[in-house]
Amino acid sequence: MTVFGALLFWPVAWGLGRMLLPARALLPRSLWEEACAASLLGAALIAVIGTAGVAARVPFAAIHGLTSFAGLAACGWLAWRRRRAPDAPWLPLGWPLPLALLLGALALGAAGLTLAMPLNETDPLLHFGYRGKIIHYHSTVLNDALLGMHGPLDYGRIATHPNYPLGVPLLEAWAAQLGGWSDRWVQAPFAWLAACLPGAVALGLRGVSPAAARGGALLAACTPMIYVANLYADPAQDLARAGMGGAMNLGGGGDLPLAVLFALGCALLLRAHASGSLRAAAAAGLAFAGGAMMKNEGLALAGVAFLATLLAAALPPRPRLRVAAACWLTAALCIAPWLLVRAQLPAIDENYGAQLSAARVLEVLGGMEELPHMPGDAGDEGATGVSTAGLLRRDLVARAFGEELVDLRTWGLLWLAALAGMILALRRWRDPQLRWLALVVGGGLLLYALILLVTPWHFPSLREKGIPERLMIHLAGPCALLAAAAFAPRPKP
Amino acid sequence: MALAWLVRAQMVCAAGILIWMAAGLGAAARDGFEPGRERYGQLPVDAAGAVAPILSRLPPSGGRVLILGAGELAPLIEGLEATGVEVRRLTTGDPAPAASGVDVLVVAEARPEFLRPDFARLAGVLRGKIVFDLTTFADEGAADAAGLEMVVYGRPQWPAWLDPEYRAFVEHVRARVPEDAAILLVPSTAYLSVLPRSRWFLHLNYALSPRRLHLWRPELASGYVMQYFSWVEAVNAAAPWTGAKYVRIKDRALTRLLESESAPTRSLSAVEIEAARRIGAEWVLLFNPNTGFRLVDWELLPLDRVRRWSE
Repeated sequence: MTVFGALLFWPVAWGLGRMLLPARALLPRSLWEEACAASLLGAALIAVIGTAGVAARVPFAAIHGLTSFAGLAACGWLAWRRRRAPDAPWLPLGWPLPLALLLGALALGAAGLTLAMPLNETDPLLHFGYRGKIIHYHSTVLNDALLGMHGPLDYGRIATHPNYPLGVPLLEAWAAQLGGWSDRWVQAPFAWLAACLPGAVALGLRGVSPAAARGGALLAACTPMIYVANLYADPAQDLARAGMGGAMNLGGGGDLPLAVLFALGCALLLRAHASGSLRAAAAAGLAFAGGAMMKNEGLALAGVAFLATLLAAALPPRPRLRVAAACWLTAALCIAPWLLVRAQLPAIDENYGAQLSAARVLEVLGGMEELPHMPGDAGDEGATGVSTAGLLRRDLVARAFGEELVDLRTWGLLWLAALAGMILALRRWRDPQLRWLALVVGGGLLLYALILLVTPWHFPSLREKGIPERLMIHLAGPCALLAAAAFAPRPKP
Repeated sequence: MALAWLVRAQMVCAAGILIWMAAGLGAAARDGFEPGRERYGQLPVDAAGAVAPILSRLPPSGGRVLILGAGELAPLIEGLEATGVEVRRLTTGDPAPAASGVDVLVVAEARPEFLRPDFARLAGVLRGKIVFDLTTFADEGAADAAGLEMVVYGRPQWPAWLDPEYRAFVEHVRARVPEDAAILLVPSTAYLSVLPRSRWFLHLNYALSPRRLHLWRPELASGYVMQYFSWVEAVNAAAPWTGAKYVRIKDRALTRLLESESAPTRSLSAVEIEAARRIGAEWVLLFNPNTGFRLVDWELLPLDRVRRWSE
């Protein structure tokens, strides 16, 4: 029952998501792209409904029951409708067999590695898994478990990052609802995420050309960081520890879910602008909101994408206002319950909203020295082996981003191609798609640079733990979209 | 054309990714699809740094040390011999015959016969009851069960939650404490280190959920590392163990080191008792802060029993 209950997530998510997608006649796509987009949209919808349920104090069992029923009913209805009133046919996938096999192997490998081990990293266990268990056992997080940190006589409940979003914990709790909590099988909702990313990218590029769709999908799928950071930095150790260790992005963390949902939001918004489909725009808004449910950075990235929409609209040809409004109103509506919940949760650390002030940024840019690593003779755990005395935070952050952009072991050519795409977008600024994607990628990078300038953490220690690459992965989808759209052969006039 | 070349170049990465995936899946299958500590590897043994801690556990007259392991251990051997310690060394085989009359046993190489020797036999022939593990992989629980105190000197590369003693303790608490119960965590001595690995309460909080774990000022203890450093300072300054009565109990649940100085069993302060009452805690988890998880440092007891020590 544990395995069945967990694996049930995917048909339910697909059914829910497929109902939200526009008809194929309006938004042409291949079966593969549709399956990826529908599954991701369903996952986002479950996260959004779950968060709304927490805000409205609806027991999680009811949320699980409602979404299961709706998802399975949708599967049945779609099957029935396909016989009675079929939609337009799927576009041919158009992939040579070796490439399809390559993508299949990557997808199966990622899913296998996700489930091969139980939760086995700090963030998935302590930040996400703990709150997943709270939802599983108590049906809500608005109880003593998170609200009781400030208890009687200063004795309270333990919780790391209590105000992290609830998307990952909710999906884990969903997977555990029927068969009980299992550190392995609660990861089932994340097993196909890596496989869905290229599908989402391809969907977004269908409007450009089939070659662009294939190219973008392969750029995303063959990016090592989707699976693991710093691949083969130490080949023997990398292979010995493969599937374990903090460098892996597969499993119960929040970075890959955010990256994939943000990619889908960008892809659907591009298609919505091209087709004028308000339904696709609303689905894009849901995907952005789903990303915001996975990590706090998702909310900031949605803000970046929204600002990019405003900026892109300042130049001709202007995007359709109704499409943009449908997207961002849906996103705001879906994110609102989370903001209501978050306002009730204790914020014990990482209050970037307060720290990201102009005065603070100027102070750091003006030459703030790096923070001390540990007080006194605290020992050497986490030590980087590099003395930071006298080093400036701005220099460390700039160097880290510079190193990452050209780190082929982690990104292949993805970031270099995206940077080249940004330059091409400047030259082809009249192309609204390129213009918007370049603003999203550039704005996202700028956002993360600002966050790291003001972070209260010791930056070299963050660097050792995979920052900024664990942030930059959130932009993998728009990078692939931008690079493929910029480099794709342009139709002859 | 440009896109095609770009994609071809990017696809070179796919070969590396697939090899990495195959290695991960193969290793997971070999390990029974459960994470194993061994795959995380080991840092080189800190032979020079281990001299002082070992000397601190030897009699003032010198004593006798048996070092198990090959490799570059000259700084350790010379450092000990320079202070008059008699050093024996065994590079392979059963350590028990060579351990007769030895004060401190040092595991310096991760060979199976050194990591998991017959600790009961060793306990019978060792003069002192101390084992130093420089590899971070020795079977600490088996040593404890044989009445030997193990001191880990090294920086484990494996994550804290894979510690076998921690896992055994989690199972012990799960078996005794109902899921709806509350547990009060209280340190019994000062924190001597602020290393984040000593935050065992975070891992216990996850593993024991839905049981409710309560700690003093958790908003600092659970925060980022600089907040945790502040918490350690605050705990050490508040020193809730001041004036406590330390009690040696004979029925400790998991450890067999009944005479150890590391027993955390102590009476509670009036504030701790009142906090337990208000929280509704029926259980107390007493611990001596340590970067390693040792059964001897932890004890779970019913609140009523601990409260009697305070009367």
